[in-house]
Amino acid sequence: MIPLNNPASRLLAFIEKCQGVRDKKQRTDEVLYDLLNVDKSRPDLLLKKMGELYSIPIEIKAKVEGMTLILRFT
Amino acid sequence: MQLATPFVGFTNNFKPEVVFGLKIIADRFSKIIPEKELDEDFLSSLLADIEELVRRAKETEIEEDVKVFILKALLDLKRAVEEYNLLGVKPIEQVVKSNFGEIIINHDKCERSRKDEVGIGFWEMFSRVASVITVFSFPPALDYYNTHYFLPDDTSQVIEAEVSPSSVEEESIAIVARDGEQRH
Repeated sequence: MIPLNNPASRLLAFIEKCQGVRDKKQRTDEVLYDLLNVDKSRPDLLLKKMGELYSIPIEIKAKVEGMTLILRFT
Repeated sequence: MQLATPFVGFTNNFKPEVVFGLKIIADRFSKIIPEKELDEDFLSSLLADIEELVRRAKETEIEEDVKVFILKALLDLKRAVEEYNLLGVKPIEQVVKSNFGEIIINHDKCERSRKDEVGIGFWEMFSRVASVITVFSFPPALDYYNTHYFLPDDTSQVIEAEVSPSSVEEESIAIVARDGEQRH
């Protein structure tokens, strides 16, 4: 198991949480408010948290089994 | 990100190749630039201490500005601790820095806070947090960190990773830096 000591592993953990949500027909914001523990009256905080979560501040170029996979997080 | 649409649209963005790539990045980051990690037990006991101090601070009779200062700092720390699994140690560090910065900027208020038991407990707790987040560091990666990926004049900031896995968790990942040197 990869430790949660870097932004990429924390984003992965969040993705796993998202994939574990059973009722995927709910509105995205309602689920995210719950998952990220944000007060529903604070959409600004929700977006701020999402921004922090997705912030992996370097550009990664990875070659995977002969293919080139480029992931950009800015 | 469409906030008003069904959640399935959001999760569909996490395509297998993206998750796979993220696993590679997470694995490399955990070795090359690991952040400080805090023990779950420490975080749980810290949360309990914060809640206790908040309760006592609300009840105690201290000057209003001191009470507001203590409560705000405690609630900021509580939020940072609760978000540790999401955002890592940085928000906790930020609260500690801000709190100790307060000593310089509002020295008088900090001195007055020490005249009360709640204030004394408050500063003891922040000292404990500061010592814990200072003890943990990442020296093994420091030299590598400084001399390779993040040199100030390295404008491209590109890492090339050669991977020959059948599953990410099990294989060794060979990272080849742009200069061609084999790392791992």
